[in-house]
Amino acid sequence: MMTAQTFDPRARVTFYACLTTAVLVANDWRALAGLAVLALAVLGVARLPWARIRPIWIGALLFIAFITALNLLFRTPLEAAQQALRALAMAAASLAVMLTFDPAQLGVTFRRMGLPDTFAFALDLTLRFVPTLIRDFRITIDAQRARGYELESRDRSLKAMLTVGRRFAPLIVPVVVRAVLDAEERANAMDLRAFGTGPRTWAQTLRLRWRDGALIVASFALLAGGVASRLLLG
Amino acid sequence: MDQPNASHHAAVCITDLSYTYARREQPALRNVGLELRAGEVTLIVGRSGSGKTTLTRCINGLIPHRYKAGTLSGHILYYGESTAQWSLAQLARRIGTVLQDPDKQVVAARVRNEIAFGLENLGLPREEIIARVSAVARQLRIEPLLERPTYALSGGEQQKVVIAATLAMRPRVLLLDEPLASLDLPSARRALALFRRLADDGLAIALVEHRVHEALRIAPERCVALRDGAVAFDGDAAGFHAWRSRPDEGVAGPSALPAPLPPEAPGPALLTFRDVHYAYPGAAEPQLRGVSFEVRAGEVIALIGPNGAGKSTLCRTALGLLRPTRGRVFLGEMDAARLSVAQIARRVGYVFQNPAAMLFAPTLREELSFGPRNVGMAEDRIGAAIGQALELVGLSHLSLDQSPFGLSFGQQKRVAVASVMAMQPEVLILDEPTAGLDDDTAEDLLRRLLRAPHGPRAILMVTHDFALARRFAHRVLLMHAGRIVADGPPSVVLDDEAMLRRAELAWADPDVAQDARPQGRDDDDGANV
Repeated sequence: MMTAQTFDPRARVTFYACLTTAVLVANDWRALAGLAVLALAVLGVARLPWARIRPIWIGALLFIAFITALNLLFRTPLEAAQQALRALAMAAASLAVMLTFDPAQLGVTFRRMGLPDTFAFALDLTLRFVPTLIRDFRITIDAQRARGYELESRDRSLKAMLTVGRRFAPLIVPVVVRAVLDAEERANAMDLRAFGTGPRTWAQTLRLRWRDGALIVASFALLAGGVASRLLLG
Repeated sequence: MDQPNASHHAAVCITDLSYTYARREQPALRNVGLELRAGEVTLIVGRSGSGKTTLTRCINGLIPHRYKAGTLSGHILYYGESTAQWSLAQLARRIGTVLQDPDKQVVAARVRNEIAFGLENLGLPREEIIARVSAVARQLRIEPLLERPTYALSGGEQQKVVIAATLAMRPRVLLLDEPLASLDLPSARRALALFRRLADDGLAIALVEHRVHEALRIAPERCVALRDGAVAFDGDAAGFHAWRSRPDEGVAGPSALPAPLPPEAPGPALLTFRDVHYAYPGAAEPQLRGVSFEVRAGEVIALIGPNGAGKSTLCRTALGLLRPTRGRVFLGEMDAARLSVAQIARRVGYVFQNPAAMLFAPTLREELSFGPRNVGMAEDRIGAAIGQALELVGLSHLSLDQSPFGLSFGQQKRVAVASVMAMQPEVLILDEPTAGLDDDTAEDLLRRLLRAPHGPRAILMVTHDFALARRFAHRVLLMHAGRIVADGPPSVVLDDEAMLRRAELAWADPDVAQDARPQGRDDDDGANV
């Protein structure tokens, strides 16, 4: 069965980059509607379980509805519809890429696309850091609540509103300090395994097949279409 | 790689090694001399700040390659060859290092990639990398983990993967910097068994460890004690036992400590769990399944159990950080469901395992007054409360204008306890009070909490450390799969081997037991299971 995941990650990254650029460049509602339909189709082809994407979709749709309502206050209905279609296409494409990309392939994908070793690996590491940061943040919230800290201040005075940043210091400072210390330890661990001491081998291999090549060609055609729609249709 | 002549030289020979960090006046290491030999485990011990980590950094080359600004003198020889001019890559091929927290060493998203990471950095051919990854996975019996994402590994599994990644580079020396710190008892003992096996296969192993009584179980050939950056003891394990219990060393042997007296009469129930269930949203299985017990005034209770048994979840329900999905928690006679977390925090204090999770303020005064102010303590009482709390943890000599971030890890841990005790809770919950502390510092902290007049009325401590539970607890609660499966005096619960095995806390793996049981010596501190 052909799903989005069966394509080479380089082809998928190229497709995503071209699609999002086309969405950002295009301004005509028909072009944007076509791109939104295409992005939704890509999400459909990914065959992600509905239970997994439902909460994200609900959040995204609520956000789009909110933005559209705001746009209706200051812009024409057509302009608001264009913005809504653009946001819908971006949300669908981003979901399809983020939820189908194997994190273990991130570094090798960007290395094979020509980025330097260190940059490609930095992307890999960043992805690994995100869940750690979220976990540390949750622990800190619990640790401070155990000291009677409450996230919402009962004080509604102007002074309290002006010092809202200070109120978050008990949550932000421990997480930042830990992140800095952890980064030093992680850098030590990488140095001790000879990272950055010379040209490295990437043991993982990627293989471009004819359909990956076709997707890459189609991606650039899509980008060209987006640019053309902007030039011809406004 | 070179093939050194092991018969003539120590694997690592250190002479007259001194190091002072940049912008520090006191040297971290002073004229240290020691040897690591092939086929031997050298146990390196010492209090926090005694120079253990600095020593490993000198051996593996982080000093001076990464910490460039300090002052280094002395010699380090690897099989008779000076390492002074070697690059980090040259050192990494010969000397492997496993740092304290495996979670912070893992850099790849999948186990196979993680093990290959160092080999890829060395630029080895792809076929050789694949062969070495398979070989080391087979050696450490972790083949089933190879395709697993690294974030989904348990602490023990992560530890094995990190060791595999280090061994894949085929070092002849392995430095282990507090490798047991984040492991529960069974995982720690399996790791120790592995270290013994690797040494028996010919590696030279330096094991830096705070959990001394556990590390001694694998019969290290050599023990080295550091104090203030210098070697205070260097000899065999028997000599180390004798040295450690000398009164003039100021290191009381664990067995010399008096056992805590049980409360004369059971006090009133301060904290009661009644049929408490808890399931995380979306989880298939509940984390707590009908937990019931009381914490009474005067009691010290040790809560033990394997990782994932539900210990931390239970503690969070005590604070109201998680609300039971069924059942109730009572503070005295009051139903905790009616109270906010801040209201509960006035009566139940919770000290998290890592002080870094909570320290944030620029001065100790602000840090310590944070909790009391949040729970509505009168301003004129806060000064006295933080003074008592600092005295309780033995830090009354510190200036209140000092930054908590400039303190050592041990002192930060005490500040974390003081910041909770400043709220004057009746019940104190300590999550792994000994994690990251040397035995003596940890015991000193607990003795102070138990004996101080302003101390808590009851203590519930989550611990992996059976020896600590035996010495300080009146009662042990054994948790497994979300249930309390044993509740009784330490001498009953911790000696019930059948029960411990059912709770995955005993020697379930006969290979491991065979590998790691003490050879010709037994601990006298009651730590045996």
